[in-house]
Amino acid sequence: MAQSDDLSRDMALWIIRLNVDDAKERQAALDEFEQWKLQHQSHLDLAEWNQLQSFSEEVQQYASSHQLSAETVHEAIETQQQVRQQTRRVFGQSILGLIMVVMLGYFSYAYFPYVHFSSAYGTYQYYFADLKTAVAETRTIRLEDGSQLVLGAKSAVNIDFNQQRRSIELLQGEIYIDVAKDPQRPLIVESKQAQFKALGTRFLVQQYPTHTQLDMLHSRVEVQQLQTAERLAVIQQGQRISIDATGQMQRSAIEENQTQTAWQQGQIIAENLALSDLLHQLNLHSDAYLFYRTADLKALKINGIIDRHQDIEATLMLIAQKHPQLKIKKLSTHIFILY
Amino acid sequence: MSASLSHPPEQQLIQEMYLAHHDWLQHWLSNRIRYPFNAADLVQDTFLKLLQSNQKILAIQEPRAYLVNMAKNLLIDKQRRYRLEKTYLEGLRQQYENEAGWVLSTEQLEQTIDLLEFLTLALQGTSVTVRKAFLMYYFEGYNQSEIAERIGKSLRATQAYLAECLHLCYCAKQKYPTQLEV
Repeated sequence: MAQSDDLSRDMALWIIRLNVDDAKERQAALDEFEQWKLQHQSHLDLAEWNQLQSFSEEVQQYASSHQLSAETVHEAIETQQQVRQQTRRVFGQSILGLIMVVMLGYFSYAYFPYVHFSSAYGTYQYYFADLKTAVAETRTIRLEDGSQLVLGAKSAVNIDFNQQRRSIELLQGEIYIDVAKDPQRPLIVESKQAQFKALGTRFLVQQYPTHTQLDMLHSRVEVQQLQTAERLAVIQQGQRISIDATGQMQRSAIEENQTQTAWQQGQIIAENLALSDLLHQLNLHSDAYLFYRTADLKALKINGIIDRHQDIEATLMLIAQKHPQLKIKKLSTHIFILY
Repeated sequence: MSASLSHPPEQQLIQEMYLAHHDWLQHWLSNRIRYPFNAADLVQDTFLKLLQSNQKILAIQEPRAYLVNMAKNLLIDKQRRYRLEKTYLEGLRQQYENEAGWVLSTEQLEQTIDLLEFLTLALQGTSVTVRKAFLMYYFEGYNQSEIAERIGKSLRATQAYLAECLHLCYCAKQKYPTQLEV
């Protein structure tokens, strides 16, 4: 058995070497291969050789036959290693192993810079965030300065407080913050599109795929451009803005108390809310996978009060009833396509 | 009396184990696992697996330790599948958003997740560099010299990495045939 294992190892190497791009190397491999074949004639299984060779070709086809990218496979393996560690931890073993894998994960991230982790937009950031929540989970945290921070579902932030400033980076999801007054140290919330500078106020920040929404519940904040910190606007209590990466702002009015209560109770008050934005919000509270193209669903505007804790399928059916032009296809218990 | 005689002794032992340890195991697990996994389901699956396995129940010295270990292995499988599906579907969602006119089918999703699970199992013991070479060669179409240069290794070392992965996948194919019905 061990011998046949060695043999199939050798065969694998020959298959690789015989397929080398360099002509000289290939010729050398061919010559050596002929010799090797002579030496192993007696126990060389031709059927197995052919099997291995066609298997190698089959693997080469996976990318196209299954539309599988290298990043996806890479991520799958990385994730799997984290799972093993988590499970071990659950069952009370090896903390050191966990540290090793976290480091391994980090190094491999650093090691694969050429790969575009399109799907991981945020995946790694999420794993290494200072604070994060899972699906349908919220967390309330008292920060060292006395500010109260509430993380919405599937949300992640990094927190960096120093002598000069208090900085919160919103990586994904949504936060509510009641900022403790500190005139010497402004608090800055940084999203993917803009940053918000506050001294002592209350507000909600929600990160959408292409824009950030800010709801001012009390007092005011200064909206600044990322990096340059150039002042774009001052937003007052009762105002809502939605800002994209170019700094374009859309303003509307909100009722502060109602907005705050609704958010705390998991309700979405939709007023001409783009369906794509609503789906993004619903997804924070559900394990379901919603497939859609933002461009197709942006024009469909939703009005009404939606309960985020309600079963997502029921919510989707309700929306489809009101908007017959929307088609929903159910792929499995938790996968839906909307178009 | 006749009812208990009709059960083979193995099955009767499992029944006894079920009665003696079911609640304890469920309690033990429910303190340790979280959504989306569920202790009650896991306990059922554990006993089901015990029924299906050919393990001689009489030979089990420490039934609780044995059950916990079985539950642990089951949980690893479940979590692997769950996380794989999650990572894959999240990536796919992005892709779907960006590529118009793309149709998805349930079977296609299942097959791809099976394949991912297979590759994960096959390559779980490899190092990052080895896997990188494998992915570049088999999934991104780089040739061997290009890979050697990119990963900063000699051509021979690169070939050894690729052969190692090919061999691992080939062995895994014999070991987990169900994951790979393509």
